[in-house]
Amino acid sequence: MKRLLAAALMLAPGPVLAHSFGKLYNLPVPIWLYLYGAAAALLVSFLIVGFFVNVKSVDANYRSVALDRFEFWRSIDSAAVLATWRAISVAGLALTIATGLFGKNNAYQNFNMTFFWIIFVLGFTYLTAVIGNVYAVLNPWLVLTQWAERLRPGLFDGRRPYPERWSYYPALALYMAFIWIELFGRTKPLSLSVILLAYTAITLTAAWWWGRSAWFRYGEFFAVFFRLTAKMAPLAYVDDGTGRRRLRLRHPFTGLLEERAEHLSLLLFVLFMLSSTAFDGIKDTVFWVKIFWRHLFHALLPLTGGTLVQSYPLFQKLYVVWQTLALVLSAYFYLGIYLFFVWLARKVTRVQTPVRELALKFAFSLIPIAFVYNITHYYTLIATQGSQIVRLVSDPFGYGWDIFATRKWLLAPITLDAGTVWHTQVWLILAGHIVSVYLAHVEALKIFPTQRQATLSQLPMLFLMVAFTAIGLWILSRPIDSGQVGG
Amino acid sequence: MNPRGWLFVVAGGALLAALFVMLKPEPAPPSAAEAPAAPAATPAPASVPIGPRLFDLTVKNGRLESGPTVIKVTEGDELIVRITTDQADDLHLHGYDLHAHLKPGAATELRLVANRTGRFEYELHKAHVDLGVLEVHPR
Repeated sequence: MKRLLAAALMLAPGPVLAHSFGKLYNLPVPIWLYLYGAAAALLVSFLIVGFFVNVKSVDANYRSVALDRFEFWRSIDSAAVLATWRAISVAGLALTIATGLFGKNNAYQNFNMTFFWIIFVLGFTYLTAVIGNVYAVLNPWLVLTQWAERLRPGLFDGRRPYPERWSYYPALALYMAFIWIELFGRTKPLSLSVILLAYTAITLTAAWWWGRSAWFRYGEFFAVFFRLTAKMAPLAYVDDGTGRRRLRLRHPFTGLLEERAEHLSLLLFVLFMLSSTAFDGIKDTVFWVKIFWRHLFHALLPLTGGTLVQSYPLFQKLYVVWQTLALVLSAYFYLGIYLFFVWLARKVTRVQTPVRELALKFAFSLIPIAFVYNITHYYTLIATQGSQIVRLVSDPFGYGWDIFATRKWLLAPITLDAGTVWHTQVWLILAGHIVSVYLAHVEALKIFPTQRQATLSQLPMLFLMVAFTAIGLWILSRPIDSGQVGG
Repeated sequence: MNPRGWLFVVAGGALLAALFVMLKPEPAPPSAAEAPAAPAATPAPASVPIGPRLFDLTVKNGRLESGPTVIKVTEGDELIVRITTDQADDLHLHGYDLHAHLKPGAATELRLVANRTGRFEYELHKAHVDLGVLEVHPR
């Protein structure tokens, strides 16, 4: 039976063995290092609780400094500079689409795959966490609507009001579709361009129908994503009411304390930031692959009535359904864990505030953990694949051009030492954990009437965050399936 | 931050460092060859390696018929991957970015020194199949 199954699995390359872009060269984190990370997270969390036991006020966190009295800011905030950057943004989108449509359909020789998946999705996210929400003005789709309105004023005022009860669900749905495409879409330059064109059509149509401000607030998922990410940044662009942007410098991460998540859909969005990265990490591990290809497969095979070889194609299709369900439900799985601990916090503090309200107030304190989940999982790609952008800008279509004479640069592959990667991963996750626990404490001091209640509430929250952090570390330590599972 | 805050930071740092020292294992000796996963396996080379380590792979009809799916070595090891195939194809090892053209019938040898650590997939380009993975573990 085992031999037959192994032979059957060899008949066609299964989803596990698919050739995809952006290969990670990371080895699983050694067990001792994972245990250390988890233990350290627990230890540090208790230390933070101990620190806050006697803390009275936390106003210092909200102090910020205005930077716009400096000439430098005034010079970059000018209309001309902004217009240039907006044009560059749209040109970037246009080039990404064009190279996919008209260039070589090879992921490693075309500009668009590396530019979109590595430079934009990863690089720009990390940049946003440092320089703040520049996407709010540089959003290429937003700029397109602004340019269109110069020809047809009022085009994007909206035909119908945006249904308030939809809240951020459209952005969440698009986010889930985006991650599905990233993990299972096996995009190549051409299909990526088609997807981006489709997204452009969706965005412009929705902005036309419900109005630009509503759609770019609730529906354009990159806008929501970058706005949340930018809350961590020490730089903030504040509208002072007169239409001018003021640049402020603040303590990093304090932006997360400014407001609560306004709706369950936004809480789910934050949780999906966590769970989608966790799912991406776990989906290729022996642990996960075994669940379907060993346990479920053997349980369901008799039901199909066919032989192993006959049923195999059916199971391949089922696997895609299984993976998709797991991805979508992962957000709700994390929601369940989160709500349980928030409920516990409410119970021990005996407050009247409903669980939903507390859940929304603590939602943004999870973002640092989500962020380090993301960095630790993907950052090596910036070195190994992102570096290729240097030669790809010279030959974006893969025709053999050499515009900037960098076509031969950095051809030799760049790999990072596995030991270094392990340590950075564990330390980064620990750092994100510390920030989240600290933020949740500050939030608690704002919410709960007495300091004793605030401290008590943080004990369940501590376990919640240790759980999320430990899951993240555990996933990083799991052996990856390389074809071993098959019987 | 007030002095009390710094006290917590220093105490925390010291505790974390102590925990790290306690849990970190001694550096392990080089590991032996990985067990093969396919049914008909070729025997692994001798457990005390002198000189390069040899890994035999047989490819038939565009898939791995015999040989390990995971090649596990330690950083610095020299290895030879000997592939016998029935159809011409191109082998590509990611990370090291090595290409080898495989001719049918005769065995092709890919020699390398494992100076990059990590997990590197290798595949057949024409058959669009991932053959396996090279794992290079740090010392």
